[in-house]
Amino acid sequence: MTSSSKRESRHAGDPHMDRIEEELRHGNYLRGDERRLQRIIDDDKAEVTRLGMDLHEITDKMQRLFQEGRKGLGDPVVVDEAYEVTVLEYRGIIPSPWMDHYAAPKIVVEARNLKTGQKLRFSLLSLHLIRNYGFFQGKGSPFRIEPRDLYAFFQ
Amino acid sequence: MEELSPFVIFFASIFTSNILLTNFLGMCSYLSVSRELKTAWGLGLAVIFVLTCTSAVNYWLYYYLLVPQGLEYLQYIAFIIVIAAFVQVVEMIVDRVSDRLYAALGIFLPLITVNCAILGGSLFMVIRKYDFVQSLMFGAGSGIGWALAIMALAGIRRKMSRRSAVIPALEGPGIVLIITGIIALGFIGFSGVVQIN
Amino acid sequence: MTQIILPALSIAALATVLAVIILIVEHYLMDYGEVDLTINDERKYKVTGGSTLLNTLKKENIFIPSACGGRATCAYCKVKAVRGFGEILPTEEPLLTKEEIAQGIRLSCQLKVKNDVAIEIPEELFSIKEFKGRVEAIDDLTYDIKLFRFRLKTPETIDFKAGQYIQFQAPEYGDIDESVYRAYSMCNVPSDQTSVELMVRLVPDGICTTYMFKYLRVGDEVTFTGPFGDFYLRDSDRRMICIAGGSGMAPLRSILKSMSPEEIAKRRPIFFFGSRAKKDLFLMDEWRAFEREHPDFTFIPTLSSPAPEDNWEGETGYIPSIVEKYVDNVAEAEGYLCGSPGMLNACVDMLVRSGMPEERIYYDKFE
Repeated sequence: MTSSSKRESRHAGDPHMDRIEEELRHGNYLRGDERRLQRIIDDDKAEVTRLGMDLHEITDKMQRLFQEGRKGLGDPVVVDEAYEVTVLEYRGIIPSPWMDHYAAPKIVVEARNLKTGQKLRFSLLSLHLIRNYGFFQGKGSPFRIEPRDLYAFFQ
Repeated sequence: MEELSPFVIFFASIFTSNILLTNFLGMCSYLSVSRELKTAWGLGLAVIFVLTCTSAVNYWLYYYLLVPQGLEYLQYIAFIIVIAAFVQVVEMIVDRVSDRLYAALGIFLPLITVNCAILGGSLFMVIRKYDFVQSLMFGAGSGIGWALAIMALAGIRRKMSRRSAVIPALEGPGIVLIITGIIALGFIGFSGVVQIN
Repeated sequence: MTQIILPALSIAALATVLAVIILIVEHYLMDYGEVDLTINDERKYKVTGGSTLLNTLKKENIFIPSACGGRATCAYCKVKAVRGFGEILPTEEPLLTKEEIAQGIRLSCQLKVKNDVAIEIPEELFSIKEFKGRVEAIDDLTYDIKLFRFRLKTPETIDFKAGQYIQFQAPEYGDIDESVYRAYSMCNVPSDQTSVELMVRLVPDGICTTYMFKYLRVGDEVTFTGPFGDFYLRDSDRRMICIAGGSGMAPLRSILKSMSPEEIAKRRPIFFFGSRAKKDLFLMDEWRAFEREHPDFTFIPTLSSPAPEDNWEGETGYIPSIVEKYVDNVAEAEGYLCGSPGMLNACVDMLVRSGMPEERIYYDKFE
């Protein structure tokens, strides 16, 4: 009859978030994490608040790593004398699962903090999701970043 | 209850006897859909529409079908069935008539069936023995009151997401319930202005 | 006894009446019946209403490009709505520019076909089909690039222009429970009508490439739609400067190998292939042989960071700095580029700075 009657409502939830959660489950962003989407976001948000992280500031820094690292065209580049960044680019695009009309190019940034040796890996899509929705992806997702790891990387 | 003007009932059900803040009905969707003003507004509108219409339909059902047969006690089941069917029909009508409206509101309609404020509206109208016009006003007013409450909360949550440092343990449902309680306290100030119970 | 039967029957009766009402409403409201679909003013179809335009067209074997499966994210499925559709939807607005909206351009995955409608789509789309094939071969080209050859089953032949791509469907597998579509360019020549060859590079944790590298086996069935794309050889007398990196070699291989000896002599293509180290190079023998066969064709592989043990004696560095060494009059030539966004940007910049007008620089826009 109508598509909405196929959705299982475990309890009254935000239908928009329910649809997004379905997208995420199918797209491997939640990978084995049994928690509901809102819970994942809330738990990570608690961590972010506890650490005093400013997501805009941190994602700006990630964006900078990408923009500077890109100049290496696949070779490692040292950015701000503090990070070694390699930007891997692939042909194609990935539509954002958040139904926000954003499609990310397939670009993966691998960075290493030269002082601490800590490594950070993120894709442009995961950057978009962290910045706009505080979504760090489910535990088990290959592109999940723990907020505290992200925080420590930029210290 | 015949002395109460329908307009008094209308205003009272929005403010002094707000179905959500005074009677605590319709809390689930209220808690989860209050994150963004836009979705809160959408759901609020849908609730107003469904509450008003189902109050009217259930009024007829109760007084013209159940009562004559002495089956008043079936009201709980009967009202719920009517609400569910009504929502299905409305969804189809909206889908047919306006793609735009369906894209904006359509996803909320199934959510309304499980909103206990809708059932509450019908049950209260029976308990308080409202006549038809009073019931209609009560349904509309309750819907508007519910919508006001969810939009107030959405506005507060939006402001909070930018400025407030909430204790991590209270993040999410915790702080929302506390805020709701405080809003409800504020609305208690209205009580005594008009009584419709 | 009546005290149990009467209420039970009443509720049953109420529920039945309501169910009947719903069914009646559904029958009258949701059944849109047959409607007329007119495309480009001439082709007329009788279709069943109620589905999205994208799906309705699919049932008529007309495949509008889509990368997101109808979720209004990729904006590939734009069509021109001539008449019969309502106002623009909130899901479409962010993806369309004001000019597009004014021209009546809409997202076909969001439009519902409910009455007689008329649309306009590019004629090329009529040659797009959904293909089913079988994996004939999977060969390693490098440590992270594989060559896949699919033998077509239905339809039996494909008609594509050298340089075009297909949308390959990776089905549900492992933990992934939804199929995804990803674009890959054909690297074989169009005259090879019964099969399709793709060069695919493994993307870390990529849904589609993980499927193709780890799950797909020779003999398996595959599904894809195509051909798409407007990256192909333009008819002119100008010299061709071809630049590619990694799997970007695919469309250029298709283009170059489908040119006649006379065309190659006329266009004098020079192909710069950029990689990082020797382990990223592949098909070197094939290109050297091609050079020997066609004296007017030049192949220049370059490595940006060769390993010491590579003993590399060829060009090093990045392509933008090498092109002018080999091409006298860059401004008069045409550019055919294929690679990752970063590499494309750098090369386009270089060509433009050397005086080549942007209209003469061609690259695959599916990135």
